Order: sequence, then C-alpha cells, then structure tokens
Amino acid sequence: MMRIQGRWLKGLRLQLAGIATVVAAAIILSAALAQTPSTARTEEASSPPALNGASLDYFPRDHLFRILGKEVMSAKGEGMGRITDVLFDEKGQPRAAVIDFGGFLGVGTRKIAIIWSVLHFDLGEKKNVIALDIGRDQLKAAPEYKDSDKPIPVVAQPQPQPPAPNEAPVQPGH
Amino acid sequence: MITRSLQLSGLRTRPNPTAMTRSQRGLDWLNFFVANFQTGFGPFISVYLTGVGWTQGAIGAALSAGTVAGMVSQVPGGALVDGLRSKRAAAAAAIIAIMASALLIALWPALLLISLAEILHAFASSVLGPAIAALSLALVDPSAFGERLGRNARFLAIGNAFAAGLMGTFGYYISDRAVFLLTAALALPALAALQMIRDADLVSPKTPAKGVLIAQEQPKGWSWRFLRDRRLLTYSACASLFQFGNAAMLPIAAGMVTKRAGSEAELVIAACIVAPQIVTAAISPWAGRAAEEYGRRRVLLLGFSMLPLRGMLFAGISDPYLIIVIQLLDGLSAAVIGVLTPLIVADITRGSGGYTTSLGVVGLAVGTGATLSTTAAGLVADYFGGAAAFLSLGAVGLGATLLVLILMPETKYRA
Repeated sequence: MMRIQGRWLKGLRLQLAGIATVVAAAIILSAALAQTPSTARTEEASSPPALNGASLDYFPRDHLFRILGKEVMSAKGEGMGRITDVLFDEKGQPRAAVIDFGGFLGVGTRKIAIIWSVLHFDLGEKKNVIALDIGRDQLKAAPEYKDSDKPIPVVAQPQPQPPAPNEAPVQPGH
Repeated sequence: MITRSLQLSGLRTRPNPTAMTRSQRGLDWLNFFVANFQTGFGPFISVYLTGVGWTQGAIGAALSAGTVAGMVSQVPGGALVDGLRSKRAAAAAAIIAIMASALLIALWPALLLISLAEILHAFASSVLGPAIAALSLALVDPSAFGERLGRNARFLAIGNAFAAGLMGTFGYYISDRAVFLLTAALALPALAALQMIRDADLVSPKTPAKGVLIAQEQPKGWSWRFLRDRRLLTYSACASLFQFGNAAMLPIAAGMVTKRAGSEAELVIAACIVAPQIVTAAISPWAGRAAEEYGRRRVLLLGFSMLPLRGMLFAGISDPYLIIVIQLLDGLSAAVIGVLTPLIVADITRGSGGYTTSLGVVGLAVGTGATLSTTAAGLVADYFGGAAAFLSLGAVGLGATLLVLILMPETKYRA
C-alpha cells in the first residue's frame, strides 16, 4: 500500500511539474503579447506626440465609461442581462441598446433592443450598473433583435413618457 | 456492480482486487471531473466575453475558431491516442492543455489568446474523450465493457449536473471570470483521479483475452482499413443525424422559457440542464447491461426514439414546468448514446487497433450534425416559429431512428 502511495505521489509530482511548465509558458507568451499595446499607451500619456494641430483633452475616468458588456438591472434590482450593442441613428444619436436578456450559463438568452431613454447612467456608488425603467416582465416576451433587413423591434418606455411614434416597437411580419 | 466486474476480470489474472477497485474508482472520478471542463467552455464563454466588453463579431470569430478546430481535430486526436502507447499520458497532457486554456481565458481575454485557447481546448478535448474510452477498454474485459461505459456515463452525468450548479453559483455570486479559474482548478483533482488508475491494471486490448473470440486476423501494422467498415459509416450517419435533430432543441426550449416564465426563468433553465443529467446518471449502468443482454440495436432504437417524441411534445406544450419534464427524455437519449457510441465502435474495431481513430470519425460526424442543427433550426424558428422548429427537429430525429431501424446491423459479438 505504501509503495502504491509513493508511486502515486511521484507521478503526481511529475504531472505538477508539467503543469507548472505549461502555466509558465502561457504566462510568458501572454506577457509578450500584452507588452506591445501597454508600453505604447504609457508613452502616449507621458509625452504628447505631434498631433498636427489637433488638441488633446484628459477626461476624469469617473465620468466616462464603456458600455459594451455592462450589466443592466430593473428599478427593483433584478438582473436582466448585459449590453451587447448600441444602435445609433444617422445624426449619431444613440437610439437603442441591445441587451442579452436572461438565460442560465448562456443557455436560453434572448437579444432584445430597448429604447435608449429607459437607460439610467447612475454614476453614484453603483458605477458598473445601468438601471432600466423597464421590468423583466415587460421585456421578456419582446421579439428578438436580429441582424436582418426587417424593421428592428425596440421596446419603449411604459405609459408616463409622451408617446414617440417612431420609437414604438415594430412587430415583424410573422 | 464492482464485485461483478471483479469476477469477470478474474479471467484475465488481474494483479490484486483492491488495486483493481482503486483503478475503477479513479476512472469514475476522472469522468466526474472531466465533465466539469465542458460546462465553462459551452455557451457560457460568450456571456463572459460580452461581460469584458467584446463585440458580438469578435466573440463569434473566436468561437468559430474553436468549432472548426473541434471538428478538424476529431480524427487526428483519435489517431494520436491509437498511436500512443500510454493512453494515460495522452489523457494527462489533454487535461493540462485544457487547464492552460481555461487560465488563458480567465486571465488574458484578448482576441488572439482566446482564439488560441479555444483551439487548444478543442484539440485537447478530441484527445481526452478517446483517451478515456481507451483507458476504459484496457481496464476491463470485453464482456464487462458495456457496464464500465455505463459507469463512465453515470459519473460524467453527475459531474455535469454538479458543474452546472457550481459554476452557475460562482458566476452569479462571484464573477464570470471565477468560472474559468474554477475550471482550471478542477483540472488538479482530474489529474489526481487519473493517477489512481494503475498501469498494472491496464491490459492492451490487442492481447487476446481468454475466452474471447477474435474474429479477424491481427493486422500486421496500423492501417486505415477499419475506416472503410460499413457499420462504422452507418453508425456515424445515424449519430450525426441524431445530433442534427437534437443539438438545437435545448437552446430553443430554453429561449421559450426566457420568453414565457417570470423571474424564475433562470432556475427553470438550470433545471432543464440538470434534470436530464440526473436521469442519465440513474439509467446509464442499466443501458450498459441492457446492451449486453438485449443487443445494441434495441437499446439504440429506444434512445433515438425519444428525440421525435421530445420534438412533438415541445411543439405542443409551452408551460415552462412541463418543459423540464419533457427534458427528462433527453436524459434517456443521452444515457443510451453516451454508453452505446464507445461500445458499438469497440465492437466494430475489435482487434484492428483503430478504436479511438474510429471514435474520432463518429465524433466528427456528431460535431457536424450539432453545428448544422443550431443554424438550421434557428432559420426555421425565424421564419416559421418555434413550434415548426421543434417539429422539424423531431422529424430529423424520426429519420435518425428509422435509419437505425433499417440500416444499422447488430454489432454485438455472439459467443
């Protein structure tokens, strides 16, 4: 029994050594790949390059944030999904956000477009969360957002807001 | 169960019973932990990548790289396992590679690295599955192989159910990244389980065991001749068609749950994933014994026929809770296919030295069917609605069942 144990441990040690090698290799590889962009960024920040007349501004990080992948929650605090895309009109104004709604471990999610005005960018303590005026029950049965030529179904604000005819959800043909 | 395998393995002068049990247990746990690997790499990876700010196009590109690699690597992966003397070393290397790819995904979500990780994971999976089947074949006598495969499928299913619960919890309460760190961490117990399998208990399947008929002459060298076996091609076609009808069913049903259920939707979907695994865990050993007793064909027909039934029920029923009940039928199909695929391929390739290569051929066929399934069913659902998609998938399942009925010969050896 002891012999078996010993052999087993020896084998395990060998495999652990193997794992360490692979992990080390992975770290070195990724570090090498990650190097280029990060050094470039720091150089940019320390000595402004020739901008050929363009000006350079620095914005406080607390007041700007990325939107892709941000979690959206209902006013009641129910998690609803993540933003996967933003739809703009020809004037460059954001009109709708596409969210990946619901699902468990990525199974059963539905992509649903919602009108931009229901998104609340609360820059208080919950900087990473975007609150919605719309609840789960109002979103769940909406037709899915698809990349196609058909009109885009966009879920709009419930009653209180003044109605905006071009922002009402458009039902596809089927 | 263990005692029965021990009695059977007594034919082949196994070293000592306690050690043998230990190897069997090692294989049980190996299956359990390996199941954990697949959960994080499933549809969840696109949730994770969305969360770190990836665009849908980039996610699609990285996942497609993985899908293509998964198909391309099936046959070479199987051939590699056939060619290697130590199936254990092959399994260990594959587990380490999967661990490395989970770490890459968790720590460096950049397009190139994620694509690399997906490809690495695909190749490793194409080696790991066949390596575990080869280890199982070498661990028991041919007459006990069905039962051993039943145990594999049971522990795989328990592992799947466990992983879905554990990773769902990690993702919800900690972070999406934690899911991949957990996946990487679970490679360690998988390696430990692999170490429990002793080389002394592994017998090369090429060595004719006492009391076992070897039908063909042992070929001189390794050859591709077994790939021309009509039974292998027939089974590949059946399995491919089955997956073509099966793969899209759960995603579409889960989408319906999201659409119809209230705040409990996520739990209902979790139940749709976990409940069939429990059925699989319960009946897999039975499937293995039944295949030995009643023949492969009958058990296969039973498993395949659940698919058209499921398609019909899904098309007619939309209550979220009944969807869970219908999903239980998937557990029966999964148990039968999980056990019968490695068993039938072992029947066909006995003595040819091409066992895992042939498993790779079936794997390629199954992967192709599954990939086409989601695309085709998605199109049908867009144009004609969910019920039409379920009916079409069910019809494909009926076709697969008929294919087994008409073309698939019995592969069990008659003593």
